[in-house]
Amino acid sequence: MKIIEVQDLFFSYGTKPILEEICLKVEQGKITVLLGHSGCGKSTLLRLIAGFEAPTKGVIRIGGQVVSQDGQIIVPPDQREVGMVFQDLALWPHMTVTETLDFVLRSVGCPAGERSERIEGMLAKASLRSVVRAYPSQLSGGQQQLLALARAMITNPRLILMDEPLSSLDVSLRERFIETLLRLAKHEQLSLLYVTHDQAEAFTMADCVVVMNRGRIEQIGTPDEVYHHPATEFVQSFIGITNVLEGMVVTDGQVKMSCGTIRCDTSGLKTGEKVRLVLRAEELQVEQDGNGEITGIVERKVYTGVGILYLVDVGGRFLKARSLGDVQRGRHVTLKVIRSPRLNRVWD
Amino acid sequence: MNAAKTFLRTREISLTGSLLALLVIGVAPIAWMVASILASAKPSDLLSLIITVRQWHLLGNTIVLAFLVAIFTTLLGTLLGFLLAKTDVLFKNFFYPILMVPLFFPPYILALAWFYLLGKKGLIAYLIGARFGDLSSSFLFSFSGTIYVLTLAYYPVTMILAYTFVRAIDSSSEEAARLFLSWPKVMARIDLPLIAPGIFLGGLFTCILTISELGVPLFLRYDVFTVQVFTQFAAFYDYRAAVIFSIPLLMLILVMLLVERFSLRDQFFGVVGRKARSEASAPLGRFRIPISGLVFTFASLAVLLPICALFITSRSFSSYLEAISGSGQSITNSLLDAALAATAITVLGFFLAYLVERSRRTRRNGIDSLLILLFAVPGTVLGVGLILLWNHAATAFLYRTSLVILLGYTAKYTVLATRIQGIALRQVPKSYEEASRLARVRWGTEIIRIHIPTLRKALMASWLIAFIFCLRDLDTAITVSPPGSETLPVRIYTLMANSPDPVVAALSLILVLITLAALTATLLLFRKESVATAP
Repeated sequence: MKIIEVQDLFFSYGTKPILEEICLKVEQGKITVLLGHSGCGKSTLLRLIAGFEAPTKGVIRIGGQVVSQDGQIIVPPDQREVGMVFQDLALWPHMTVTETLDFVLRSVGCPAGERSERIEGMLAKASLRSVVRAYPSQLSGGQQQLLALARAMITNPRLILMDEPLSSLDVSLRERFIETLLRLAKHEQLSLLYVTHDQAEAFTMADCVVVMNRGRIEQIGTPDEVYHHPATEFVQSFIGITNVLEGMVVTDGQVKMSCGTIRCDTSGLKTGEKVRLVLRAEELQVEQDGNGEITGIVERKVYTGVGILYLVDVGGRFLKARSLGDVQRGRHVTLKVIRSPRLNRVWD
Repeated sequence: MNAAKTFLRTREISLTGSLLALLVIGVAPIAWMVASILASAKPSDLLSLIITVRQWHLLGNTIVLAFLVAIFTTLLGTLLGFLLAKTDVLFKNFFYPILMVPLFFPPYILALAWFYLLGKKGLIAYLIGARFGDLSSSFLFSFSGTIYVLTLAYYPVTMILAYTFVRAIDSSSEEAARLFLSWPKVMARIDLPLIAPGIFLGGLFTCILTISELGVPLFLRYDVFTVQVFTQFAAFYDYRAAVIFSIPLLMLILVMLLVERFSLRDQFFGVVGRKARSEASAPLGRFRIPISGLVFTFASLAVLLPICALFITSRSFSSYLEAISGSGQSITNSLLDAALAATAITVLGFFLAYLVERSRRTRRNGIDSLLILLFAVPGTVLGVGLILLWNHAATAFLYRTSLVILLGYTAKYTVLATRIQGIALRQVPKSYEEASRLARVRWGTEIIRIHIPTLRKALMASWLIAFIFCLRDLDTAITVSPPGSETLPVRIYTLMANSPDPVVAALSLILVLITLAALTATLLLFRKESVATAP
């Protein structure tokens, strides 16, 4: 069942288009992640769904009901039954943890008897029992995050919107929060629409990934689909650790670049055509015995936690590659393309 | 090493020198005044401070007036601040600067304008009838009339604070509440508690301004402490009585400042200074036009009507010629004094702002409190102190010239420059100074090449604001003006009793126009600033 449907949506500030031709469906009980560069319009889309802005054109439905349409907010934010976790958290500085949750429940007309029970339950779920009388400024970064989530969840909204909520946390706190969020989402069957520019976060969280670029949706799919079958050149270059190179088809099955010539599938392309190659780091392997097609020097080794990423100096530019064995810095190596890269024609 | 030592020494000398200047200019006169009366007063004089019915009557009048004016201005200012900052009221960008205007007029000019409107022979009486003139005149020259005029003079204080604080609230705080509440409830439950300390500060500030005010109660014949201090001093030449009446007034101001320091400490929730992510605006819906109409009506009543009253009363161009020919010297004095004082205030303000912003907390609080105290002290009290301190043969060059007026202005209004430049200085990264220090730049060169260019707009703004406040000052100038040095506000005040209304109205309008020109320049400066810093 679809909790959100966005249909042919356009949004602009004055004459500047921000969102164009957005069509999106969000499944109930799933985590959908909007992924894209900063400024691509993903937070704006979230604000439109929340009802803080009206779409210039197009329709937004929540639970089948039209909530915004063609420049009009039909259902105001307070009647949409959505919760939201803001990028800066937006915790009310003059309210303690308990007061914040109580204020929200009062606002939605929750009876007094039920309020304390729900607050207790939420404090337990969010591990905030020890700080019930603390003001936001007295909480740690992680606790602030949990309070923001608790505030969004306590009314049992149909949908929770999350606008880059982890951007201010360090890596370990971020991982802990993601674990908590995933646990809660599974246990409570939450419908989440989550905005981030961080691929790792997106692929950890998402049941469905929506990749956005310059106000448009590039691809919608499961993390597997988006990673392994990128639909557009942007998605190819944006997802994963990639090298983008330019070259020319020299013969059938060979592309010449400034750093060397590689073999790849050139079907559909003519000799002499200019192409752009997108090579993921794991598709480019460091070879110490000279079997590769591109020669270079290992400049840096980046310990990513799940292996080593090599930055190889190839005629003045760095290519990112992986290796089966350990390679020392400063060593002359070759790079082997282990999977034929996708080629995109470059139009002059 | 030597360069670093020289740098620190010259900086310390200039900063300590500025603090000493403030102590000599502002604190010494008041301390001298209090010490002289304590040293020479008989016990009966001191007892009269507490036990006379007159003292209690004056204290009651002063407190009740200040309290009621604070309540009315807070209600009015908060409402206007919210409407202009948070709703889609029509022409709000036009109304805001217009509604700010009364703060920059001498309050007694407003009283005079209302007198031309509501007096026995005022414009309303002329239009409606003499009977109404009697009624409106008795209203104006009453406790209610004094509250009415002072409310219209000081509501912009709370309005500006409410407006600024509301606009500084991070819009996501409101949006977080919008998910559960309608706009009016968000304003009541989120915005209002967040800006409550600011509103309270506005009320307190208005209270202090009302306690210090001389012109309006003197003109409308409402007996308060400032009126007594001035009367004892100027009418009866009784320094001792003037000082005795000053002491409770000073104590009252001190109590107010202590309330400000202790009640507002740590009450601000860090809303100011944060940049709002978007300017969320509450739609007024079907009330938009009626409410916009009400704001327009109020702006007409509070701002345009008094100016029109002055204009109509001035009657003809010849009144302006007569005003200029008869009071040209006062206009020149006013402009010159205000310009010189504004320059001194801006320079002193820079060093003190530096001292306040780059000092330890205790030192910072001390200087800040001192500056606010000097601003809050009634001009009449400060004036009496200045005269007592400098009225000696050796310092006649100060006492008998406009310099004494400049000292009074500088003591009273340096806080404005310090605050404006302090806010700007806070936004200048300390690393600018550290980088110049690493390059062995001297303190003087650092001021010229680093601070003045980065604080240019703030320096200009503080000069203009100080100029406006010096230009409108009546209380200090009327107390200390030596013969031949009287300023325009003093001249207008003395002419009120024995000159034709058209000339007095023309002179008042000239003062208003000069003030408006300086205010317009300030607003344009700030507008350019905000355009330049917009993302």
